[in-house]
Amino acid sequence: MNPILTAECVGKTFAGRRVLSSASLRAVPGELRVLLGRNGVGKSTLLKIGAGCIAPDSGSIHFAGRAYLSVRLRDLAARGLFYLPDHDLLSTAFTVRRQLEMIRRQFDGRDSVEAAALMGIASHLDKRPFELSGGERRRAELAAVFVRRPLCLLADEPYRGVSPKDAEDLTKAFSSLAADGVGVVITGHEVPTLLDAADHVSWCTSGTTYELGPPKIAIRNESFRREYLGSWFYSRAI
Amino acid sequence: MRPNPLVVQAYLLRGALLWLVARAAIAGALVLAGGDALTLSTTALVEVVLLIVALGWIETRRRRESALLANLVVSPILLSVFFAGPALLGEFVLRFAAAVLA
Repeated sequence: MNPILTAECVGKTFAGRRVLSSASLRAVPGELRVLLGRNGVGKSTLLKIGAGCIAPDSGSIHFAGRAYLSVRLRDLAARGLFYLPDHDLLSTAFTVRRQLEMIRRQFDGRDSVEAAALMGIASHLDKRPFELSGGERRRAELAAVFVRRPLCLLADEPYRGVSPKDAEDLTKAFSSLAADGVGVVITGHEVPTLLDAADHVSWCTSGTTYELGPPKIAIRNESFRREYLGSWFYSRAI
Repeated sequence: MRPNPLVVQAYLLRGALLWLVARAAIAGALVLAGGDALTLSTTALVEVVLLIVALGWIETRRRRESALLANLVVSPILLSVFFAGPALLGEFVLRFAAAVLA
């Protein structure tokens, strides 16, 4: 299937440090893709560029059939992209219910109570996000995604600060979104969780990205094993 | 795509609250200095509105709402209008009140 989002040959330099030289990002409808890589290699930067949060120095972005040299998140959001940043998405100023309703009314989305129930946070709808635990906040953000019903979801480290049970539930939610035809791309370091859920693995290293394919094939890549997974993980996986 | 009434209402209210607090502080300072607390010069009015917009942006940044607002298709210009609107209206009401009292 054709990608809904493509960022091609992306380059980005911060204060003289070249973070990305020729990296690519693809979101394909119906696929859960994971972008892996060591800390500081530019995974979040690549996701932010794909989401239109920061402009690339070089490269182009294609979303839903349109090409952009530089684009803003709000323009992509209007066309069906949803971005979960590497910090809390929901504002501490409003209740979860109000924010889900904002999204529902903006996009004629799914019922917010139904989405909250789906993510197991129905009893927290009238709380503000700062009253929730880390896992509950991540669930509330996923509820926002379900309300929005996007074409494409980019989630930057969505498993941060969550318990294994919450991680399992989040994984089910991401898989369910992909099964509904959403193009999902996730970053993170929770390798077993991410590889269990993923349809496709991309590896970000040395300013570029490698499309490694399905997890079973990806973990057999010698460089990926040596430079990212480490021998302990590989011995367990095999 | 226009923002929905819930978003508009939330940020207009924030703009109004910021204006109320800032304007009360300015009025207090003007009273202490022996000036007219109700009516501001046009230059001061513009400065107050710019101050409210700046405070609104600081508050939005402090609460890390940029991604949420962008996901809701709210542009920075529109957000500035939400903050400036209540301040302009408030100053207009104060000018009208001062004129009636005079």
